[in-house]
Amino acid sequence: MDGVEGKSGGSVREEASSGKKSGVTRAARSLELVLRVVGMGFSLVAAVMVGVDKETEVVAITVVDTLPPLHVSLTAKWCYMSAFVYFVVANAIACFYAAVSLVALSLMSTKKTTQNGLTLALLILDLVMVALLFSANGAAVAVGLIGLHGNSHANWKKVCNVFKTFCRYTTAGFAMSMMGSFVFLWLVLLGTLSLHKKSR
Amino acid sequence: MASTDYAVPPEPTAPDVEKAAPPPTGDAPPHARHDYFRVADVVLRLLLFAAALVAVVVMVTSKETRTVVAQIRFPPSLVFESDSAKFQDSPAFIYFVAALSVAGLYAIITTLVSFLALLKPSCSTKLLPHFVIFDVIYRWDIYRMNSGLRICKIDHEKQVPEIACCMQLLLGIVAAATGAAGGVAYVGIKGNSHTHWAKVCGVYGRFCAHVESAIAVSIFASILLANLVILSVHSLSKKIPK
Repeated sequence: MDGVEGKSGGSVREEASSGKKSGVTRAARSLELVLRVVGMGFSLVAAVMVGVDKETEVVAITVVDTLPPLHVSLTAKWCYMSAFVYFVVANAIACFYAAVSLVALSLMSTKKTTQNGLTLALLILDLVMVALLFSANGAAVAVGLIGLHGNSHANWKKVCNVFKTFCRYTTAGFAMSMMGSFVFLWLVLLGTLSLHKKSR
Repeated sequence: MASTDYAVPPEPTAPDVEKAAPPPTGDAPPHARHDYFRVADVVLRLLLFAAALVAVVVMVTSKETRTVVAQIRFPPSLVFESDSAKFQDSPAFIYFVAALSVAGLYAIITTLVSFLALLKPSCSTKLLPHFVIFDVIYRWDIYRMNSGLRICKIDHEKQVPEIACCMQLLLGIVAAATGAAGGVAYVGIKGNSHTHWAKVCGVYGRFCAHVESAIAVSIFASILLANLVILSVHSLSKKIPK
């Protein structure tokens, strides 16, 4: 009698936990998809904002005190600074990767096979994207700070007092990319957590 | 015909032999795999500490002083100016030193904890301050389950999520430091004609050499960090029942 009761209780408990587990897995999977879409959006916006940004200003340059100042029109573009080039390229790669992983995940979820290999590969690639995005952010922000404040020791003059709109756009782009890199970080955390739950 | 009443020496019975044989062979492979991961973990963390230390020391000792002779036309005189290049001149390099110091501190702490977990696989009360440090930053349900009283039942693999979280954040921080220092160093080496930023490395060659080697070592440190995370993820995935 007790053995039968214990068995049925155990099976009910098992069903409840497996139901909760599959519910949690479904929530985790949908959260992962949402995070990938959000990450793709952020990196796309960042790349486009910095890539499309262009400003032309007429600057008065005094070469010699006696002569009147020369009016030179200078352009500020992203491709003139190699750190910005790296930034745009890294964000484009991250956006492309997010799109590809979204497609791969949605294709794989229709099949009923265990996705251990794909999940592991996506986790490792997510980690690579985190490192890439963070380094691109660091480089762009460092060079942007030089443009904002200048560097008296190296005699590098500040640029942002002249090209105000350009600086504003690039700052917004860096903020977007920073949020995108944190989204990718959350993706890796989520992947590690779900692996840990599966291995118990 | 005397009956032979020899005391028959007790022979080991077959069931005893069978019972003795299986346990050693059954236990050996999982322990070997655990030990492989733990040893690799300790070695990688030690390497990370060494790399972070080297990068910080090389960057901090990069000061170079140059005496520049300037000739003034009116009144005709020579002026000796000594100018120095040090890592404090750029905020990117200051952040680099700070981030790599944090990475080195994290590496040495987790090396000691992993080493202790390697020596005492069954129970390690020294894991408690480890959890406390990470609890300030992260509060996961798994931590709450693993904390306090059940600490002795934890093996090394169960603390993986907390460490993995910190390792990824640290990877982000170190990668950002590498990128920032690399970006500024690139401008210093090549200059920028569009913004009229002159190259600095022609004058301060030794300073640039120090900065470049520090950045190279920090790239190696970030690769090590990525390998650490992949190792912990791999050890987690090996435990998944198929």
